[in-house]
Amino acid sequence: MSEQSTDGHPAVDTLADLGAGLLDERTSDGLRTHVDGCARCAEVEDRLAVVRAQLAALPPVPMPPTVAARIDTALRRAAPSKAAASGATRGRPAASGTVLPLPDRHRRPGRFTMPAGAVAAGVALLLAGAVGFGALRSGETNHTSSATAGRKAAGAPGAIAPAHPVASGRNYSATTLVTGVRALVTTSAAADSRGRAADGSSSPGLTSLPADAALGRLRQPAALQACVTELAGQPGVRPLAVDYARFQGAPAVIIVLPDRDPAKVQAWVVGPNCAASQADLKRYAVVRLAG
Amino acid sequence: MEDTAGEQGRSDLDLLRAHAGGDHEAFGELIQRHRDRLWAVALRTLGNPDEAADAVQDACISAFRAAAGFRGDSAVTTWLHRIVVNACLDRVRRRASRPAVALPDSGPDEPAAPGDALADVDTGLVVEAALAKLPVEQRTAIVLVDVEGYSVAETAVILDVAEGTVKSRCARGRARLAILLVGLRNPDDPPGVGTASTTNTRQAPGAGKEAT
Repeated sequence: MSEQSTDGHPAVDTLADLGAGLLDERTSDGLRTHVDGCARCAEVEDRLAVVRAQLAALPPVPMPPTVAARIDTALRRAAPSKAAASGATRGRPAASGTVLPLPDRHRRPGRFTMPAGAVAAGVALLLAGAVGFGALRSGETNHTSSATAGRKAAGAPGAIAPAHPVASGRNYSATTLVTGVRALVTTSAAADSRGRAADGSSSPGLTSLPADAALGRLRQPAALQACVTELAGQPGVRPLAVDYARFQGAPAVIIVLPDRDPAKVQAWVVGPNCAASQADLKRYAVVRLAG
Repeated sequence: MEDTAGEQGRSDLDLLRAHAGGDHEAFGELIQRHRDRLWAVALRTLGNPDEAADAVQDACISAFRAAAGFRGDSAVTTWLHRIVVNACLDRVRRRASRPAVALPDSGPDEPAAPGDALADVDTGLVVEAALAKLPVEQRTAIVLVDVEGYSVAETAVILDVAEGTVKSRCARGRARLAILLVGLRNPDDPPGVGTASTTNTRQAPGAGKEAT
């Protein structure tokens, strides 16, 4: 560096080296004698300390959810496909989900790609697991329907029933999102299996309530699918559950998408403006399903 | 870290060994546990979220494949950081071999138009901008030691240099930041103030060179 001073004061670099203990004892002692009696050099040292404090005070920058999802996908593709299947059938302890803070700006995913088959297989495994979980939770095991759903899902991964959107109007919060999403997935999967058992008839238990007017646009399937495509970073991903609800008091849609880990789901909380060009993302969480 | 809430019980090393033993869930859990810090290092080293995402993804895949060869002579996090930092430095070197792209950096001839407005800008943004002007070796050392709080010893392992080199890079980087941020050669500035207003008016010699 060329910050050599012309008037007998040590250069800023030299004072920084002094502060870092990089100088030999004799040089240090000589400089210390000068600096201790020199207001200008003491000020330089103060400012070096301010710089360190400013660096230490820089805020943490959490990985944006889209980047995390992209990396999860890349790792999944790097793993043998067999791993996903064993993960789904293994018993797993209940664990809390991971709720990530939202970055300032939602960035469009870059090269986020996932083979459609992999997504379908993940959904199939998830549905099979979620139906089983739902049966356990409700206390009355319906062997026929869950077995049917499981066999159908496992046997024909491409033929996944669409999510049954609900409009609970529930006001989710950061702390209730994980449990709320688990319940949502359970009821959606159960409704799915009932729908199958009743040969496609709609489920009476999930009668849609009037949604918040602000969410009216997203009630249209095409608008919802555009939003889902934006979240997933690719077309053709079918949500596992959709709830027209509220998040921290504001109108929001809870969209549950399959995760690379069949034992988990991705919970995306979006506002009324979610569309192909912007996610309007309010919150993102990876939720481990109990089972 | 907080990401591991509810999933305690397996250490980083447990997860890495489980991965090497065929448990492919384990590696994702390991990355999830540390991804925010890995991301912060990559983002601040590269200064560009798209490049940082590519670098972290490349690094994760490299680590995924190299995990079986991990000998345990450093902490798993140190090893992960080393792979991420190397992926970032690879990108910086590749970038340097490409034609220079103009950066949004006001040169000495341009009036520092936003200078007054900058005084209202969050100090953090000004510090981040100054950090981006450092030579990459200094920047990486500063990010690891001064921003992320790693010890000099651990940073030396991550960067594969001597501890004295880490100290030297940090000291020179701090000196340059002090010049960029607080206009050190103006004796009338009271200490610790005016950090933003002087950013554009006092360029360290050679600071412009780093931008190309």
